[in-house]
Amino acid sequence: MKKLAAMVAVLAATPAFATNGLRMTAFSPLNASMGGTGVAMGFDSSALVLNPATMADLGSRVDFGAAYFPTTITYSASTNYASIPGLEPLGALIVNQPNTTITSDFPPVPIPNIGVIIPLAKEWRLGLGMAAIAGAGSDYAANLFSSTVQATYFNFRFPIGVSWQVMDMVSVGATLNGSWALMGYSFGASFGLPPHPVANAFGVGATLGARAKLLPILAVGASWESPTWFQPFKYNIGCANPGGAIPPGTFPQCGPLGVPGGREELQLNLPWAATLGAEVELLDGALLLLGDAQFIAWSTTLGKNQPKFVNDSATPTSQAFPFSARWSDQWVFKIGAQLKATDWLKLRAGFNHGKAPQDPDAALENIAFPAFVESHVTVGLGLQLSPAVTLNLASVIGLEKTISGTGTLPDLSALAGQPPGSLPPATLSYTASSAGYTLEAGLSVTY
Amino acid sequence: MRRLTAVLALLVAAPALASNGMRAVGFGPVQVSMGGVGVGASLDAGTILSNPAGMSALGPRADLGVGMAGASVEQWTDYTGVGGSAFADSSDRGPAPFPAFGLVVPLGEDWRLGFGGYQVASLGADYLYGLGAAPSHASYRQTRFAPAVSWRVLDGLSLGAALNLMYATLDAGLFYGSQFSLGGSAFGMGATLSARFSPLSALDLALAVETKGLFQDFRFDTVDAGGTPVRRTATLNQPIVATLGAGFRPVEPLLVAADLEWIGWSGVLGPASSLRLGWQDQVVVKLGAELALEPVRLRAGLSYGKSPLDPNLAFNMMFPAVAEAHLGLGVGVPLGPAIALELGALWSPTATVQGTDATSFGGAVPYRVSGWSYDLQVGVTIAY
Repeated sequence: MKKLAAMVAVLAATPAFATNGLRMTAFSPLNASMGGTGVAMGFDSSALVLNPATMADLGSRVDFGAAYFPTTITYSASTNYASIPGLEPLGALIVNQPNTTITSDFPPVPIPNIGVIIPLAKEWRLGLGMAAIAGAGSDYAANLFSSTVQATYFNFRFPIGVSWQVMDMVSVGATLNGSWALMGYSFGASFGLPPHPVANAFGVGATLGARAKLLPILAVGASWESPTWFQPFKYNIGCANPGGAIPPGTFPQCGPLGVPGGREELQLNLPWAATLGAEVELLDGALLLLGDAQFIAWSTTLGKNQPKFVNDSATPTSQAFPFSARWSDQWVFKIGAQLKATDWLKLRAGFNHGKAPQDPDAALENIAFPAFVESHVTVGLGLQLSPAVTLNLASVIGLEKTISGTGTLPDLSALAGQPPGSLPPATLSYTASSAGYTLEAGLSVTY
Repeated sequence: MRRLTAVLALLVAAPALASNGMRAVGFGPVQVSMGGVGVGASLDAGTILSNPAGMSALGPRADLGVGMAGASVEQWTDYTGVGGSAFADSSDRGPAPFPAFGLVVPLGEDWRLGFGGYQVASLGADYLYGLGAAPSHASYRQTRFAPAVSWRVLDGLSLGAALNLMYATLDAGLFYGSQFSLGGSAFGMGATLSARFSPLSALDLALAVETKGLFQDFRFDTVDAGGTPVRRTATLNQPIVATLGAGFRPVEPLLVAADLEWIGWSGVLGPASSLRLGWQDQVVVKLGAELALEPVRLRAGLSYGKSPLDPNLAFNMMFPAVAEAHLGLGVGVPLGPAIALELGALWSPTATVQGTDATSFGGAVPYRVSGWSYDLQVGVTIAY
């Protein structure tokens, strides 16, 4: 039965490689099969995320979809303390297994995407949906700081949008993006750094879009997605004593447990993004070619010293081990094609590429959130099962990407019983890689 | 105390106290607004989960919804008898949204194919001053994806079956302190079998039996006391559920429905289960009514089931399944010839479980956990 239960994992997904940074490459099986393109043409309810103006292309419809994402994520690490005379024991504490490849055990996660398009009048459409927008995570066995490295982030959006066909050639659209996200992380738990169990936060943003059908065979589209502003993630943190370096009684309220905890608040928004796209119809519409260019402003939310604790809530250990993702902004280029092979079969393919936004020297952040795959090859098909029902299948293949760098760790002098700053800076060198594929399925129903 | 801290945070979840134990009262805004009935009456695509035979009463349709469940939970624990102090805290777990969708596809006159995706179980809590006055967090959520089929055997008799494919997460708290693990997830499988009988044109009777939902072990990567990497596991299945239901339409605009449900919690969360939470089986009574006042449909209902918690265990604060009574209200508003907006709300008034834990702390520790909760759902029903 357990084997059966394992086989059941038919509709699932794991984050971290079918993404551009944290952002999913696509928002439905159909969208996934075409490289994530769709700003210039609406294919299904993914228009609510890509460009709400393209809902004008759609009639009454409902779309359901989900995906299964097996993936392979690994890292190996070492520290300079391992080769500094007298600091070898501390080096062995920082990296238990130098240069040994550790494989993440992050499990698959099933993520449904759903949407409905409702014509309100000839020129107006209302759309409602739910889509997974971003995600990444890892689950590594104990190694760094003699502890596991575990992290998870997911972001779901519930967009409500309208489109308006202003004139035959032009439509505009907008969505209100209600969002909900989960985030938790733990590194150094066995070393005395307090874990941050999974917390959740609500967010809100908006998307504006426009689309123009310049010629019978050519359309162009543009969309702008505002930042998604989230509530801070709130964590209840206990007393902690990293490495046992805090003398018992230093903080009486913690007894032998070192420094105080508290309620921490971590701010992590999703950045704004802008996309331009074009669509060309050939062979009397039997062949569609699409291309999108997208800019994602990661530096505004995951830049230097981000994500950060707000409202003076950081506990002493989080002050000593602050985040600084130092992500750069990202350009993503997408192409896709659809060929209508028969009345009941459409074949699709695409490609998606975006240079990884990570700073290679943000070692801990990149190990914990390995969202750095750059290139994705996509394929799929649509099967018309009945006049009202279509089955869409897709696969996204994330080509292996390896990232290496060397980061500087916080001052660890206290661990050696030394005054602050008396030890040379400790570094963490690492190599991490990520690759995988998705299997996605969805049903589209017109009514 | 450590063992307790280890065991405790196991299953808790988001705020979803608007549940019977940890099981959702109903599936989708229509069932929720009618107190969770959905076996005797075939209301919408939510019947894919509650009674797949009920699809025979439905035409081609899609139901899409989203829910938001929230709760206010407080705990008080007095450790003065074991050398400590009394602590009180409220859970910081915020509300959580979840999807609810179902699709019914007719295959000929007598057969229906269905596919549904609904959140089925959720429970949790997050305290700064929880068990042992230490930070305590736990969260359990379970979503089901169910392909289903129904067959009209005779006029008035239908059979149905659903394959229950499930996914659950169990966050944190199981191994705390130096042996912390962020959480685990597991896939599971089970089935629902049901029959629907209509002895009169205005009366439907139904029986639905849901098998135990068998899950993979939840896996937690952590370290042992000596710092060696280890993988811990925990088992958490979902219980057998059997429901008898009736739907009666005394006059055309009025539908009244009642379900009597038995949930076998003791088989998965009882004293002999791996988590030893001491839950008891639960009998739930659900009553609901729908009045069609064209063009709208008004709905109301209630559900009652005694809390399955063992009052002798203080870690109930992490598993605050205290809710017993639920009141539902809702309305369906047509938006067009083929589409309707469905709104449903469920409210569970404040309930309390309290007792003295004499086994977990080396002495008698009185405790109390109480909370109230809500479940708001909105959806659209589309006939295609």
